[in-house]
Amino acid sequence: MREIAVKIGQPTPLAGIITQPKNFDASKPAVVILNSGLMHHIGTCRLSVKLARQLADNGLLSIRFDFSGLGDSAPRRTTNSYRESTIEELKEVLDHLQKTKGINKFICYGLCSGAHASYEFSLIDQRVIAIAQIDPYCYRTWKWYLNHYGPKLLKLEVWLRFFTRHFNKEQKTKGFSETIEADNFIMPNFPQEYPDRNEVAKGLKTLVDRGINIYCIFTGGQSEVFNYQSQFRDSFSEINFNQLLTDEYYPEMNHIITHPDSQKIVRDNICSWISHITNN
Amino acid sequence: MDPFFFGASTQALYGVYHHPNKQTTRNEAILICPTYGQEYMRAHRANKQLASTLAKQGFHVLRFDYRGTGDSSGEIEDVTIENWLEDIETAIEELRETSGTKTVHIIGLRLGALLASATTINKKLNIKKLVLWDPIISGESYDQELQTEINRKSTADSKPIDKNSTLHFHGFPLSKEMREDLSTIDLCELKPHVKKILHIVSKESKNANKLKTAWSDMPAYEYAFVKAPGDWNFVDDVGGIMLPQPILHAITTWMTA
Repeated sequence: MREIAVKIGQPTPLAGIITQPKNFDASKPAVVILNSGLMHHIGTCRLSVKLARQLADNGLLSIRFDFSGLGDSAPRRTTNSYRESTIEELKEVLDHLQKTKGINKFICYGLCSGAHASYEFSLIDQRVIAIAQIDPYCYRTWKWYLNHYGPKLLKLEVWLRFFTRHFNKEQKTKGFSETIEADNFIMPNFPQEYPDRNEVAKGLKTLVDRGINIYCIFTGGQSEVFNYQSQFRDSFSEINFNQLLTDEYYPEMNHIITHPDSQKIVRDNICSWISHITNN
Repeated sequence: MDPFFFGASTQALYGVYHHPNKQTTRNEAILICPTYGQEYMRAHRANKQLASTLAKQGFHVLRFDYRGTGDSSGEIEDVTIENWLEDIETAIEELRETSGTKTVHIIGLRLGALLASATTINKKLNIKKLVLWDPIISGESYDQELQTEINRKSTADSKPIDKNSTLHFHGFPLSKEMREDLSTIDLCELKPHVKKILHIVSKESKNANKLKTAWSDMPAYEYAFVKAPGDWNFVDDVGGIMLPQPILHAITTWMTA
């Protein structure tokens, strides 16, 4: 395995690391590892680095890089929206690998905003053959509401709290992010509002029609929108995913996957899913 | 900004070199020693901004990752504190070679400050200025601090110390050996061989005062309190980062003075 630091694009290049397996084969797809929120390209708890090395052990080349303005990439002067920039920059990265390594097929992987970007990009670039997403777009279903509110409605303290708040106009305590100056602490503030469900359903249908394999991992850290195993399929029940969708739910995992066992599950599962879809 | 790998190929270190502004170029270079764990993630942007600002002021600047961290080679389970101290020396050498200057300063954040100080007891390295930003003052206090934090925010995900005595903190382990090695380092007992030291803190604390007292006789020593966020151990659910602008500004001002 060899790791190579690269700069892609001009005049403000994107910084990235290519991890190339010992027996590199350009006919195999390359894995493109995207940023999650504001975290730089090593990924949460170094997940992207470890994933890249494990992929290389399985004979796959990967690139982890920073979108402009994030991590080790300088900001670019542009009037593009975040969504437009990510798509444009992803295209640059794929063009670079196609030109320098002769790779024509790609798998995009990302967590949270990276998952969203991998989905958006796969809609417009035909070189993407599969996407792996952690906590991607998902929508609440009636069963989500039942799981979420059902147990609470049976608890006496919940009702007591409701009435106390309602009648005493209880003051809300300031949270951490409200107590410090915004200049000094940055939370991911990308346009993370979910697109309309029908729009995503249409997009997913397009991907399925193109035969794109989709792998989704949902964590317990996203319980505000996701709380049971088959919710993704239920929220897009009109789509026949056939064998193209693999969806998994790990309620014990947090959103930034800090537990070493959880990280191992993610890495192992992504590698075996890729191996399965590429018949490697 | 040039990302690159340096050092021996089996122990390659990842670094980012910031070229000095041609108009204001100085014959001086600065190495930034990062901290470890979630703090490293939260501080990445601040270190990048600090490096860019200092490069605009004419300094050659190198940021890098220790072995087993960031993009550098190896896994954290296989590295030692001794390795990290060697890595700082390798980075100093690399910076001298890349920049062509002999004058090197170091800025260390948190654990990076402790390691940088331990490195600069070697007179031969000939470091001119040393900035200790919210330093960990001893390996022992660091260990205690992490354990207190874990116990305070104990969740199902927390498994503070495993059967091998490895301390796990928000997804970043510190092995028994690393903890033992760190426990032998105490800033109050060190005498870094540098011309000037800036000990800069974002909040006053017992530990900061302890170091201030221990080093107050050193002519090279200066202490500054600059009110800014410094809650490095706080970890949110979405990977938020910290950018303490007043500290970055104060360090840049001190370096350029």
